[in-house]
Amino acid sequence: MGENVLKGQVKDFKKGTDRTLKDMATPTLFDRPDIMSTVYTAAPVEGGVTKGDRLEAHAAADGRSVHLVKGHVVVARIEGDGAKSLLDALREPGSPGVVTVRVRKVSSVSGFIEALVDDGKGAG
Amino acid sequence: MNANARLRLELRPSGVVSVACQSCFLLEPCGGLNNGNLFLNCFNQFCCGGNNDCDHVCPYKPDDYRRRMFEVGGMRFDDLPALRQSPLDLPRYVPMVHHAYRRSDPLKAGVVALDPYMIFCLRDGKYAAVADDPITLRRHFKVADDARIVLRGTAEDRFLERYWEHRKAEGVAAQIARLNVSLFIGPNYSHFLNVPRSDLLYNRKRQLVCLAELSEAGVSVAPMGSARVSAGRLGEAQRVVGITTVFSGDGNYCVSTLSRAVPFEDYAAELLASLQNTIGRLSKSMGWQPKEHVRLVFHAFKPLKEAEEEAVKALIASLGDYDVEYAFLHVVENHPILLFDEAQKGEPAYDGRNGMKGVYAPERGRYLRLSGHEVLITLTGPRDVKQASDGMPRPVLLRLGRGSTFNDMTYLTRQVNTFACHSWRSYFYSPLPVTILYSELIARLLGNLSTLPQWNPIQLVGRIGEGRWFL
Repeated sequence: MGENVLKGQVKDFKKGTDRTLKDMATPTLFDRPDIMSTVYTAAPVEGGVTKGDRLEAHAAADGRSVHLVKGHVVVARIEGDGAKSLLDALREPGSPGVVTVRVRKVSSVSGFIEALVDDGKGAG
Repeated sequence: MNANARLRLELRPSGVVSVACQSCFLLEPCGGLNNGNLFLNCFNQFCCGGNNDCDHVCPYKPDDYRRRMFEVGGMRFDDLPALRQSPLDLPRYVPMVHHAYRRSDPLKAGVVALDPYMIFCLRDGKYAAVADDPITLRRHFKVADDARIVLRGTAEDRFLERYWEHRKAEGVAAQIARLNVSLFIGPNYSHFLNVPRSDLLYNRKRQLVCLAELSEAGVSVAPMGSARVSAGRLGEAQRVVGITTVFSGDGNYCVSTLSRAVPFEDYAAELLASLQNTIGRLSKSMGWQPKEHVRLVFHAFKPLKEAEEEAVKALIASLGDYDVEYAFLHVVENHPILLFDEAQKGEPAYDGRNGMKGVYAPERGRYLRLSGHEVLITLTGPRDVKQASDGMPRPVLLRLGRGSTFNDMTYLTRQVNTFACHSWRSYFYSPLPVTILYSELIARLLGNLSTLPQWNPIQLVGRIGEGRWFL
């Protein structure tokens, strides 16, 4: 095999290793069982949310609630004590301020949403 | 009005925030879009919905968005520390030094601007400064050992992205702090107007994060703000209007033409068409004969780019029958060099204070050859200075373009001097050759005229354009 091919393989391997190390070094909320295991109840703001949807949770600017966002639109809001630990985690200095949640249930009567922080394994 | 001007007008704040912004999660840091479209926000207007080939930072690409937010620490701006800015007394003009390759002696300037991305480079995968201490840095760029340094962070995207990628791992802020820098002007991460605001906010946060890191390391910083309209991150943002004045060899003003406003990629073709049109008219009116020797000298207020030189070369190739030689001459007004005549005692200012004006100023027309392609010429002598408080006049630097086939700098310098004695605007000499001055006057008037409703530059084509309407 040519030297250039071998060099290319080394480079690719190094890139892959670097990427994996970077992913592993990226702090997530998943090491916080209090946040991961909590089922959050959110009040609907806009319709169009169905079970299984993935939404992004952002800390609201007022610092009192968490917005669940689909695209750029706020579709639901988590308020009160239920949001506190998630809100604190999202507002920590250096935190990306966003985490994905998966909709577990949507009430057909009130439209209230139950959601869990998504760990990327399809649980929820 | 061209499409870009129309877009700028559309994006100008109307004072009323769109209703559609009220449901957006970015309303608080963004403030809302108020460009007159009351029912559309930036995502409605400018977002593609998250295409893979779109490179904007956008919540419609959630994985990429989360990664970007991790980079900048979210879209919060209230958690950034206050930026430290020390008082700095700057002169009106600070020379920008890119490298030291062309100088044998250190530049004697009290304050110089350097490009931080020329200080830092990647060596063996490490992003490191070329110098570890202030003196080595100044000697590397051949500036005075005691020169104060302003780092100009504005640059092309590739340099900014490289800085962003390596700044934390390599401790770039601490490295800069060791170099005794007086000011760091923030990196200009793009602020496009016609993209989703998440992209703009991300870039704003990136600049502030960079400045906060530098500030924390003890470097005085200055944020830098600008916005532009673009067809995309990789799209060309500017459009160009070329204004050309044409003079014959005996100094007669022949014509002024105006190239159309076109996208940059079409600029060379448009310039070629404009020049062909102009030269065609001239060759007819001046009765050029086949095989006749023709010399074209292009005076420009900016360095001629490759596209412009290529357009001229294509024009000359298309002329065919004539023996053509050409020169591209950049007439530089802003440069750091002064000429002194120590024997010059000045002229009486007649301002009632018995002052002398133009002390040490060389006589008008004196020139100094700096190199084979650069000449300094004084176009404002001691008599041309208006009053004693005006200080020393600056010479004009003439720089010959690389692609020129005619390179007699003495001839070209004399020609510039002649054109500066020639203005129809006044009985007095002109501080610039009229080849440049007339174009400036036309550009200024066209700029003002473009604000008038119903104005169309086409009205200048014809008899008016051939007259000296701009004087």
